[in-house]
Amino acid sequence: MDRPQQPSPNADTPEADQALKYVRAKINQLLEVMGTLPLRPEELDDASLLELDPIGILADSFAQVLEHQQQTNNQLRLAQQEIKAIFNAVSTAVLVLQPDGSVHAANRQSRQLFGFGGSSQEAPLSLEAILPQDQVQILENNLLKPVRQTLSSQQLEFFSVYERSLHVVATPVSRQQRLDLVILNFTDLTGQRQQEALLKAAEERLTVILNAMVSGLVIIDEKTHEIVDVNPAAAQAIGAPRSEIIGHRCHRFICPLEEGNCPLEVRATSVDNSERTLLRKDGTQVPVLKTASKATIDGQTYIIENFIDISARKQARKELAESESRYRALYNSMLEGLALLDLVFNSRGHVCDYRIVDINPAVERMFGFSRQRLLGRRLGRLLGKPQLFYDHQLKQVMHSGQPQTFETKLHLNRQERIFQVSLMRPQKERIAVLVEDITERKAAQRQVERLAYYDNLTELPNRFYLEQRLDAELKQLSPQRLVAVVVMDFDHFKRLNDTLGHDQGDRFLCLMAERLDAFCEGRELLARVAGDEFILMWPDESDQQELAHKASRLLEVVQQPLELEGQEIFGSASVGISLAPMDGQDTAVLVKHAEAAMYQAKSLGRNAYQFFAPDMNRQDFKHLFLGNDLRRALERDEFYLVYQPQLDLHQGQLTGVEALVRWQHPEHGTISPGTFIAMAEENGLIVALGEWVLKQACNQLQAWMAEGFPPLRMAVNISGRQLKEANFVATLGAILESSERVASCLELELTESILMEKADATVRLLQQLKEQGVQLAVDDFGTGYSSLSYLKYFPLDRLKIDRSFVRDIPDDDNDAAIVQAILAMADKLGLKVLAEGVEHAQQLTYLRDQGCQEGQGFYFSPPLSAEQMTHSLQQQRDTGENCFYQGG
Amino acid sequence: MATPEYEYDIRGQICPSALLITLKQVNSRQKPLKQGQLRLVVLTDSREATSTIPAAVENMGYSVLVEQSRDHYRISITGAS
Repeated sequence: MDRPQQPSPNADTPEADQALKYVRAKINQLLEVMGTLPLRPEELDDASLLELDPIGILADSFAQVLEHQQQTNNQLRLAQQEIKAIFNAVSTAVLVLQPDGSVHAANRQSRQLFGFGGSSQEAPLSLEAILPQDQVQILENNLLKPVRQTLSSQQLEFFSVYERSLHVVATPVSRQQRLDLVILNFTDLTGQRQQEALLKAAEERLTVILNAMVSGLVIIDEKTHEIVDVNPAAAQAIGAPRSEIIGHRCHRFICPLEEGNCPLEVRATSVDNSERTLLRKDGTQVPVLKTASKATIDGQTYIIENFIDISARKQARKELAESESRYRALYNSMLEGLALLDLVFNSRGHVCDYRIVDINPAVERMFGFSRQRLLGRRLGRLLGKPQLFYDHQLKQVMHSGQPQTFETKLHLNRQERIFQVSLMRPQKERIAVLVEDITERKAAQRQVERLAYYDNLTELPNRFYLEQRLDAELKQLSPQRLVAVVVMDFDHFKRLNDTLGHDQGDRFLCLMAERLDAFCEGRELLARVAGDEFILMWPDESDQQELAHKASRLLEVVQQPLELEGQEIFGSASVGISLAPMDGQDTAVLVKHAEAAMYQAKSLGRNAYQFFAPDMNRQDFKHLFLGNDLRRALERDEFYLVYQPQLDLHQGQLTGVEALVRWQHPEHGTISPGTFIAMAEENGLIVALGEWVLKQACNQLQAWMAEGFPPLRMAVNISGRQLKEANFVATLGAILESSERVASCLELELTESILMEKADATVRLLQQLKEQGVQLAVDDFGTGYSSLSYLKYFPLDRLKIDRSFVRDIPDDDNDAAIVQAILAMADKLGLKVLAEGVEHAQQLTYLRDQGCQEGQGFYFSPPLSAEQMTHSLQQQRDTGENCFYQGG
Repeated sequence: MATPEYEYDIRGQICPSALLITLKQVNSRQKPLKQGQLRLVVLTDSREATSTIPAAVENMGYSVLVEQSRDHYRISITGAS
């Protein structure tokens, strides 16, 4: 819109002109304030200017500007108050910092938190006045510096100060990349973090408890019946890792047989407490005792099942019941009577009687009383107080607790019976009485004793009896008295036996025995010592002439005819006589000499008697010479050892050797050990010889070890004389000193008779020997007399069954029974068994079948020289095969 | 509901007068503008006016919207929102 320029109406007057200039100047001044260009005259002429009234317009506008300013100021004030209120009302502590780090503002919480300024809103000058230097440094490094550099918010997760745990956010306030302020916002998380720590600790505790629980714990969702969690014990019981169990329905593992019949649902109870079955992952079932209850966790209901494996408990219960019934069966069927008595106390607290609590059927049988009649009765009343037998023993058992055993005789049904009574105290106020009727056993024992001393056929004393009597007589020899030992053997008795039969042979012997017995007078003794061999002992002789006469009469008595099966038989005998003291003062020597004389008589044509004369047999001369030679033999190195292999009867491998001594006499050649050992025993040389054997055997053992052969057991026989030497243990120790390995392989063989002589002392001695590390074996077991009660106490390793029992097995029933008994007993005593004298396959098979572990004998190998043995060991090592026996 | 508009064409006027004319219009319609009953629209072709007018009326407490058409500017003034 073009507007024509108009001249100012009043420009003609100088005042007006002045005024207009002034107006224009003021308008321009105002326009400048408004931020625009001055008003040019050509833009608006004076007349239009006045008409437009710019000053008026601008004044109006300024009025509005002022009004607006006023409103804005009010709003700002309000906003500031709001901010201040919020600033103080927020729960976090807020510090507003200047860029230089001085505190611009601090809210109420920050003053409380950091403990400064009271209620005043005056902020302290610096952060250092509020916080410890270290903490200021942490804020500076972790928050303020990054904020200054990036002009963006930063946070510090953990800031600890004044025992509070804080979370800090730093927010910059900036304009145009220039930092005006930094707002630090501290959130106090102390309580929350403590709470978190407590929760975490509680959870850890719970986990530890669940993991440590021996019982299985299964948590099941009540609605879905899905397993939510299990503890390690449950996972182990189920046999699957936790991850494979969770998510399955509970019936997969617990109460599988009742699937669909949840005890909690069917019975509509909240607790189940019963025996259930656990189905393991591998399909096996385990009885468990289970407790199930419901629990609500976070508003959801779970079934908490807790179970323990009761299979061991069930098994124990079953075993107890079985044991109980076994015991009951034994109790009812045992032949020994067993009664249980309870103590009865009087008013002073002393035992005055015994009440019968229980008896077994054997007691009823033995005494003829019924159980009903006896149970609950008092022993004293039953037997009558004055006759309360065994009161003393009962009291002793009761006080000491030690069992007592004694024998007693009782008259039952007008018959005397012998009982063995054992009293025990199984519980404090209870006595068990074990009664055994041993009447028959006693009778049998007497019979056995009789058998031991008497000959069964003729009922004459046997050799054993004779030897004992002779021993006794020889102990009291006097110069005025001769003791004659008369050995008598019937001539051609074998022929008689063969033609008429054994029965008639036995009858012949019995008739002769009667006759000879009648011939004996006074203290004279007749004994049958073997087959047709008899020995008479005439202890009161004085004159050899008279003796000769008596011997003739004896032959005459024998020659009297006798009748067998209607035939008249004429017998004859050969008789040898030795006399003590001149022919010997020892039973064995005298018998031996009389036997020599008897053989002399036989060789001179029978039906004769012969006195012993020193030159009677070469054997005896040899004996005398050898005695001297034997002493020198050790020095001359004439002894040597041979080794008989001992083998495992099942596997066949060589387990050991028995060292056996041999004598190579320079003139007489090899002398049998049977001869020279007895001599060495007699003259005491056995001690030195035994030591030599022991050393030699150990040297050989060491030599084999040095060659690298597998360890072999070396069995060495020890004689009674040797063992009785006071320093035997020390001697053995010195020999073994060089090698422990040798000690562990060495086995000492002792005979039964050695062991049983002074058995108490032997136990100690054997223990000392065991301490040297050696093994102990009983040699020739079964031939001597062993007290089983002692055998139990001896620290033995092995029994060697004597060859005499092995010889006739398996055909001889008695020997077979003895072998079986020895094996059974050894098994019970924990001893190993080796059979001696195995000579043929049947013996081996029988022994092996009976469980005998080892054997030795000619079936496997005779005794071998050291060289031969070494050769066998080498061969075995080279071929890897057993060299004596392949096993079976 | 659309606010009634009063359009005032000051095209051809250069700045100081464009501003003064606009201010006069604003002053005279002060009340309806403030009460939100009116929108004052000024059409101008002065480029300078597009900065002086908004600066002045905003100081007075108004809201200003400047739009550019093909050959002029359209300045809408309303009471502060």
